[in-house]
Amino acid sequence: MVGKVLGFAAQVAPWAVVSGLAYAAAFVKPSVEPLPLPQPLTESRDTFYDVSATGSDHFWFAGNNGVVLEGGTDPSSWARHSMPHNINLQGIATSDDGLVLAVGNEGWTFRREGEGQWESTQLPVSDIAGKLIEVAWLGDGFFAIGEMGAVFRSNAEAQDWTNLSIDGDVGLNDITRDGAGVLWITAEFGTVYQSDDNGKSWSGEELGYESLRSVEFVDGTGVIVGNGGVIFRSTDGGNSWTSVPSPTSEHLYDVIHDGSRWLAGGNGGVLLESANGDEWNLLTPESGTTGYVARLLPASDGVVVAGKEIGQLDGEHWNTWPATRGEEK
Amino acid sequence: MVSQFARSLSELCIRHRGVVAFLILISTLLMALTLLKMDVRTVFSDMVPSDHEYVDVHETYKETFGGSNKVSILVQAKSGDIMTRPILTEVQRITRELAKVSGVNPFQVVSLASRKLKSVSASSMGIESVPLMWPDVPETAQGIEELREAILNNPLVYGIYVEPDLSSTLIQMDFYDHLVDYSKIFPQVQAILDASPIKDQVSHHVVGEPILYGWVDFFLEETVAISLISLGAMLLALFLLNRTWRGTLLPLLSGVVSTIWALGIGVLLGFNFDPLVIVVAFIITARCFSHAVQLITRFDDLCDGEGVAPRKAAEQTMRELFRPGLLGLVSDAGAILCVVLTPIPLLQKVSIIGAIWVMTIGFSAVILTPVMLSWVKAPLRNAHPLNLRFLLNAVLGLAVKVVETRARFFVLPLTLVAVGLLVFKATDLTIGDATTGSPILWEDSSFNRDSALINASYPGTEQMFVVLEAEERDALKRPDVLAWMQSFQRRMERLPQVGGSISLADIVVDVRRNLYEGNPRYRELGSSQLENGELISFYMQGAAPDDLAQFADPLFKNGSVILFFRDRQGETLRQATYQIKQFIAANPLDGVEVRLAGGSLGIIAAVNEILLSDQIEAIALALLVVILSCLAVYRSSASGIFFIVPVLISNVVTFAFMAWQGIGMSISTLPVVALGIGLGVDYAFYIVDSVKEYLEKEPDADPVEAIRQSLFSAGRGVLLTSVTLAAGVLFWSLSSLRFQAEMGTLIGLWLLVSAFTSLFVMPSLVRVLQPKFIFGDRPSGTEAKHGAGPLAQSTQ
Repeated sequence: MVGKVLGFAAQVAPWAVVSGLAYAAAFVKPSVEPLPLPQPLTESRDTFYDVSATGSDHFWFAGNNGVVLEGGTDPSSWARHSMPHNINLQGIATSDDGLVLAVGNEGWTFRREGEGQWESTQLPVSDIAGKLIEVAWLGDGFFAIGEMGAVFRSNAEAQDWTNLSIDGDVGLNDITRDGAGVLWITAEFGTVYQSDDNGKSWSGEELGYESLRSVEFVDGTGVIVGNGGVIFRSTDGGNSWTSVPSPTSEHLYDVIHDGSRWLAGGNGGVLLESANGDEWNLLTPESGTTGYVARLLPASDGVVVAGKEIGQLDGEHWNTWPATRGEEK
Repeated sequence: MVSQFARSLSELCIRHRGVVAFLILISTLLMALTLLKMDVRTVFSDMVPSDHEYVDVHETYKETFGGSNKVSILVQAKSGDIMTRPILTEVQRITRELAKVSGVNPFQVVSLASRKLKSVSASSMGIESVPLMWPDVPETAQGIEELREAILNNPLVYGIYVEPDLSSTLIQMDFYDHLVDYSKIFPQVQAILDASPIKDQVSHHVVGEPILYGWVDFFLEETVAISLISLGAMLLALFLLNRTWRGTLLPLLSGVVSTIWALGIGVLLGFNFDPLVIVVAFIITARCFSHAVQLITRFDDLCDGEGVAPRKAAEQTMRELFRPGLLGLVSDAGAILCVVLTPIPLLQKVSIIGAIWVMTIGFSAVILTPVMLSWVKAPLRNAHPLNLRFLLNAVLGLAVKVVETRARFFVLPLTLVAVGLLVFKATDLTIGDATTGSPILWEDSSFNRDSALINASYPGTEQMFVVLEAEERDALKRPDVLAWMQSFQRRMERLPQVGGSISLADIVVDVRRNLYEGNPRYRELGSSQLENGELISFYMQGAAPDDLAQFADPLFKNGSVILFFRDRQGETLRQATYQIKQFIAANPLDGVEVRLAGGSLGIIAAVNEILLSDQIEAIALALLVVILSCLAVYRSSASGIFFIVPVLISNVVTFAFMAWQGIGMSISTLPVVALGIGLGVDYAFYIVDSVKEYLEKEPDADPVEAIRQSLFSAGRGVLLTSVTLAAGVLFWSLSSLRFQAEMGTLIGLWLLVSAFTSLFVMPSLVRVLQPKFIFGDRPSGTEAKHGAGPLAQSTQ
């Protein structure tokens, strides 16, 4: 009996082997263990346009694709936030109470208090050009400015917005308040606006034809930078502006005073420094930034930079951030 | 019936031996004349599967979205950066010279010095687009400084064609696929680089399929030299072990005749010969040697042991070994012919020519060798005094010992355990390339070092493109379509092996940035199809008509997203295609079908996808051939499972070895594996058939005696050929081509495993299982009546 069974098995076995292989040929495919591909802290396509700080060592960067990065010198502090609307964020600001407000395309604003959720609000901007380019915390509220002369002012909670827009098709790039309480806005086509009534009315002055990107005042001295590397300086609180020689023809996107010197940054990662805003020199940090510099922010350990790369300029030493991966929130 | 035919054929051939020899030799001479037209080169289209969706995509769009024969040349400054006039002039010189290379598409030579790479500058007055460094290299320091700034500000150049620290620049060229001739491209490109007037200032590094296969062609002479050395070593081993000139020269004669016939038929069929598959030729020649050696060994046994006259011995040899010889050849040819079902032209050619080659052995070895042996005058005279047969006898004696003692009962379980463990290891086998560089060349080869260097500094030298096919024209300008591209690129760039990607969306956002005075805040898509169309129109102002051809067709109906990869490993491509399919499924586009995948990696991904199923299919069909052959000859399907054993063992051992050594299963290894099946079964045929033949002649003989005589006769031939051939293939490990070296090792391993399975496993199985197709209806206790002492004890 056993012999017969074994004999039968031997007769069938070769066909079974071939049938099994035929089945495998038809149905077995190379398998792949799919990588989860979680959202990394940063992507090579991320670009950043603005930075603000809560405290002395915690920074918020706003960028394209609805991304806000937060973190600082502590590598573990970094986190990535994706806004509920996938629009490019252009500006970010923080209030004295730590409220974070990001603004961007199509008039969108996103606010976050403490560890709460991001809340979005869409401001009434032009359908044709509705980019909010910059937001700033100016002591008692947020000011958001943008294309088509858009100027909005909010309360400290960034919830009630007042439309203070300037008539005309002009893109507004940067807003600041000088020591005398006057609001200053740099704009396209070489125009600088000022308002001494907290934004209710605006008067403009043309300083040439190149678009002006940024303005900063310190102790009555004002500096404006713009396209083509133009630099203007005022030593009389903005009453008159004088063009000063620039060591670059690259567009300059931001100017700040870090407490000891003036700094400007722009296209091609160009960085300039000046002691008094009159004579400017090119700054060449070790392993410097690439791409462009959109915003500079004075910090306790140097200057924080937002641009194609983000990082910190400590003297002439450049540290790219974030040093390690964080998480998405 | 087979026996009757063998008897008639052997009588006829030996009776008319002069005519037979003359006919075979004159045919060989005529065939040799055709070899003058032999075309030895690699043809890329031979490696492209004929019916795979990726290949359809590639073939449809390769002329515009990127072919599979791109060459990348890195010009690297030895110190400092490339922004010096001599180095920039060198880039210009190379760019201009490359346009003259055979088969090049002059419109696809892209570098800083070509018209393709443009400086797009913006100001409050508008935008302008001019070539970065065409037609002239900047002559002044200021001009070079302006070029530097233009590069830094152009995201389509900076990091893509110029290394971020400006220490090197990339020159890329593509070819018209139908004009590609690797044997011309490689030396022409090398000559251009060798003619550099500033070798002290720059180093050149070059990669790409044409260069890779150019290297293969470059090493052709070395490959031929190794083949000849290997052949010489095998002949020397045969001479030493056989101690006769006939034992040395007749296998050589058989091999030469077979080779000439097969290659001649190949030439007549219009086939080219790929240098990479020369190992296949080697395996078949090994088969030829094996059959000839079996015949000579049997002839020697008859003359030496039984005192049969040479002419009679030759006829008897041919008659006795015709059945296993035919069985082996049919199995070999059938196995390699199964590969013809793989829809890859190279494999189909290898399959056809391989099957023809194997069948020619029927004439060159099975017929010609006995015919030539019939003229031997002094069969007992040794050609040299050194007798090394004791080495063979020692191994064969051990094999006999295993069968005679209780050890035979352990053979099957031990084999099963070993095979089980090896199957476990074999599951690690990589489908596709298993190494980061090209597996054809050694890791420290110039090509792989250049490849690693470029991949470390740039997004990646290997490219794959996916195609967006829309139902309507201008669909590619839709914001949702462009946003899909951006989102897809972001997703794919999360893969560690993807160094970057590029699409029409990258062009659009960059134009928009420039239109807004170069402001990076405006590096985004237009809000409408109309706006995106206008942005594209801005880009095309002053551009050559084909400047956007890489990304979209003229109607903006079909477009591409090009992905750059840092390696082409099988796992990388499987992961990439999986992620692409997942993304497409999760993000459907209205009115647009997204298809993958073209480019060189698309083709390789297609090959990898069909390799596994085709490999299993080839094995299944080859085994089917073995079973059918056994069924026809032994009239028993059970005999099939018997002969499958050595095949499975050698397959599993080889796959485990490949997994252990990191040798991926590729288009080049498939024919080797298919032929290996023939190798695995041939030796078993000779040994088992010898037992059967003995028992047919001596029905009352002791089975152990039958096995013993089989091992010392057919087994000696098996051992002789396997050791000799394995020793010969060792020389392949000296090859500059890693593929050749690894395949040589693989073949050597296969030969030895097959031989030792036949010598140590099969005899024990024969004795323990006593299959009916060998023993007929003999009562199971037969051997006890005739057995010697140890035998009687062991079976009780």
